[in-house]
Amino acid sequence: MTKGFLKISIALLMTAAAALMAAPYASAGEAGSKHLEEARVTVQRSSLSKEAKAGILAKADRAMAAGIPAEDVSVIITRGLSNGVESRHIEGFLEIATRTKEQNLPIRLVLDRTEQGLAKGVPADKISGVTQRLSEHLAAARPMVEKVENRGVQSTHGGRSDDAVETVARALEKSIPADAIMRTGEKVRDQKGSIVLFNRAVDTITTFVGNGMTTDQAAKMVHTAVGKGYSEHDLEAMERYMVNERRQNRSMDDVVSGMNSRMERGEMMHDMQMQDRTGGGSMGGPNSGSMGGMGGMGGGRR
Amino acid sequence: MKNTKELNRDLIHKILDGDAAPDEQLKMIAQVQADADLKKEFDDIAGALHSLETSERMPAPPFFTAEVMRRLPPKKAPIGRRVWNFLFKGRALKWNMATAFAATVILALIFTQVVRTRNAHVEIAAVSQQEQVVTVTMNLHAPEAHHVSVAGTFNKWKADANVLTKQENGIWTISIPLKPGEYNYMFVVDGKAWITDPNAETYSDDGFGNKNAVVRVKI
Repeated sequence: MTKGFLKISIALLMTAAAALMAAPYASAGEAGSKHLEEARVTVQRSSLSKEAKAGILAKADRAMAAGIPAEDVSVIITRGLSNGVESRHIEGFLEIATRTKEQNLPIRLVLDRTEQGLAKGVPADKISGVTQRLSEHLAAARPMVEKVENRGVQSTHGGRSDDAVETVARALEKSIPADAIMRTGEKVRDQKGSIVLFNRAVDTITTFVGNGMTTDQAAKMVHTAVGKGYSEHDLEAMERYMVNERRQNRSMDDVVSGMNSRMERGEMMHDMQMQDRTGGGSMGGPNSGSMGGMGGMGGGRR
Repeated sequence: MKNTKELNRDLIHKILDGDAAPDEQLKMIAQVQADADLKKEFDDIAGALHSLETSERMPAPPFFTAEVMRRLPPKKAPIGRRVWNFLFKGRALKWNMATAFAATVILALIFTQVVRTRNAHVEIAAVSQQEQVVTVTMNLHAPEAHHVSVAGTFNKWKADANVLTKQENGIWTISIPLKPGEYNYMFVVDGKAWITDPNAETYSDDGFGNKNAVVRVKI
């Protein structure tokens, strides 16, 4: 082996090694660059003033530097511009998301609410107000979830705490008192439940309240259910039961009464749902799931 | 048949080697005296011989014989022997820093690839569990509609991403593969009316005064 050949071989090997090691990062960066490029093109092609374009792009750069996915930044910018939203509002959306992210709070809910509001044609100032309050609720929710965990509710891996922070923020958004949320944590802890059960319990209270139950009724019912050892699946089944009962025009008081009497009889809602199911809304196994929805504009489940 | 010159040369060698008979020596002396060319040739050979006999004898350097033998073309061993030697004969490893470095880089690359492949298997296993999808079918009865799509958290609320197909009975339908999780969604009719699925599993406030349908996808 000559010296020249050896040198070339070493250089090739080291280049290959560097390329192999950099490949995964390159592909991720490529996707991000693509989205950012799309957003840049959209901004540059818009009829905004030079200053407005620069302002949006600066906010986009900052958002991405904070760790907000490029695709979301791109969606917010392109959707906002195509809806005719003023540049200051688009900058505001990105600013709220960036600040939320910089506080190390879960960002998905804020991004989703922004993207959803823009898609639905909600006025920009309303979106800003909603997402700003949501961001504040997320900030308030984080210490609450930490306190719940510190008091003995088992944490789990895989971002479940972030899920709980988002769920608590949505509960606060629905004006569910912090006391009721913390009592839920105590009930879950007493049952040696995990943060997943806490998350589901708070979400169920929020769903009940969102569908017309009073906060007291909802919290009391869920606390009773958790105290009786109901699982996440049972709580989900309670939600489905409530929705089905309401669909049959039963009053909320009747629904609450029905659920209470079933709980008193010691029935698990999950089992009860399995027996009572009339084909409504739940998912089957892979490739067999179906969802109703024929009645939205008339009709019924197929 | 040798000519006279050649015969004389043979005789000169015999004389110088001491092998010639006395009469041959006398005959040669007479010829040498008579022939100037022959005399010159005789004197040259005699002089060279004298030089050789009187020159200093240098001792052969050490390993001279071994070196000479080494430079001789090797005697080819039988094919069987050569195969045996190739497979089982001990070898001394010659190395230098450059080849050692190259070997290290190659080994590191191989090791990295092996580890990465193993991790990839783990990742694929982990991802595949998460990547398992459930095909969710969504239906909406809207016989008067011209266009129906569904937008939700699964497609970043893109109103044109998932378009439903109209069936003869006025039911619009779509099947969407979704990973396990909870999704909010609404139907978009004729590109402008956002409709909540009336038969959804459950509902969630959208934060803007409307209700999203909720579907929970489980394996």
